[in-house]
Amino acid sequence: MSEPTETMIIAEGLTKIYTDGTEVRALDGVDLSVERGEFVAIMGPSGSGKSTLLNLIGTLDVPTAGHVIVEGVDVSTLQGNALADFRRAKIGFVFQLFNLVPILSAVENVMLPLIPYRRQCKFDLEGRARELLDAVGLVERASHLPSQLSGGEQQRVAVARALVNEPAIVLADEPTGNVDTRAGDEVMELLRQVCDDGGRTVVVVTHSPRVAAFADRVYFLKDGAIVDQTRLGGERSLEAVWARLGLA
Amino acid sequence: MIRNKKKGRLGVKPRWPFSLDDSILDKIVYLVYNYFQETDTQYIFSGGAMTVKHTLLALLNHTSTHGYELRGLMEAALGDHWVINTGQIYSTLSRLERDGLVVRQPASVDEAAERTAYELTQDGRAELEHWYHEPLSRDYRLRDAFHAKLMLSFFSGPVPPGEVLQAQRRELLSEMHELTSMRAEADPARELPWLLLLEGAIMHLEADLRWLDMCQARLNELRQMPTPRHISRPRGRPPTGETS
Repeated sequence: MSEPTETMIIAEGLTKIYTDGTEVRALDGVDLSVERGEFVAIMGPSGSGKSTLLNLIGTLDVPTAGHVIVEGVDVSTLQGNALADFRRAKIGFVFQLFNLVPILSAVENVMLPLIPYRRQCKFDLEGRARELLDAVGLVERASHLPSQLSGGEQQRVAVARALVNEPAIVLADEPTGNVDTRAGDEVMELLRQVCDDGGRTVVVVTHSPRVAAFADRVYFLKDGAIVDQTRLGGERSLEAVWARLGLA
Repeated sequence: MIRNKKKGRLGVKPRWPFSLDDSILDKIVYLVYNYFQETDTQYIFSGGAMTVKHTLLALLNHTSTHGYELRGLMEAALGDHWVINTGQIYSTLSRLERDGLVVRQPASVDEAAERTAYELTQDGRAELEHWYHEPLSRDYRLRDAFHAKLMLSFFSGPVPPGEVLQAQRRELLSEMHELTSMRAEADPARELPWLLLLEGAIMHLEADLRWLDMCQARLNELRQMPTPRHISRPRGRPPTGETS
């Protein structure tokens, strides 16, 4: 029995080169680390390699060079079933385009990641899916199809789906990219709760400062490399805010 | 209440000219002082000066009442970050009365000065309507100091403009983070005015950050601009002998 490490995710020299005809260096030696229970945003303009980085962390893609280490395990070496097991045990995904299955109801979409494994589940899968829909404020929409839901509602279903396997890490790629401002804030507030109340580690990639402001720490990505990082908030910023509001 | 939250988080209370529980003497001094000042007490910053005068007219249009209750109404309408002291309210009421915008209601049971109820006159309502129709303009001088800093960094170094931009970006994001958590703490049912104020501040920060992105995207163009040079001009009268 080993103590859980405080560092949840480590990326070391992460490099991704696409070679379809011409060589594109999407990521070029990225080093970063994410603490357990931390909410991190990776910010950068489009084409900076944000999604590539998130896909590598989530093992949806394989790096050309470098390593991703999650809870001390080098996941870049995992293959086949071991890789699928790791992903199912540790990671939940939220995508920009929701990626809900159009012919399944909201509750079925939430259950979907575990449906192939429902016989092994020691809990009532549908019950858990309904609880999660309740947590995202959509329990009364459980039997609606995605097409009957607004963009913001679809993304909240997607957040519930990302949590059904009780992952330690939730990865979100521009989760507010296809919803209006207010619905986007609701999705981000949910992710904030997933971190604060659920104790999960959340990593969001975004170009939007409004979204990044929800995070505790921000990495700035440019041309496939981390150029800066900063911790957000603190007494000094709070005082600046009061001054900004004219109340200091 | 919001104020407790603010004090709790920041440890200081917003500063006002007087403490909330003014003594009678303070009130008299303030009344006399304000009466001769002949200006509306302005208690607000950007977006145009807002006056106690129009606030009171708006509240009295809602209901005729006395000075003490007006303060409570103001809090209820705007949120308690607007709190002003009662002295300002009394002095403003007496000026409004002098100008014919409000009148005292017939003496009520309690005749103490603080219990005198006021109501809006025809002129008062007209003044209020005029105020509502008058758009306010916000001033945009806020970021000028940073604009100057950025331009100087191109000119003189020793810190590259990209770093100057990034330092500013970090700060604005950090402030936005604080505002975002304050917004999450605000109760939308009871504190909507406060919540919308925070939202406004967040959106202004968003605009500032987008402007930083725009500057960043044009850094190279800026670098190619000719370095500014001082061209000395002859001062005073041209030396004699050179005139033809």
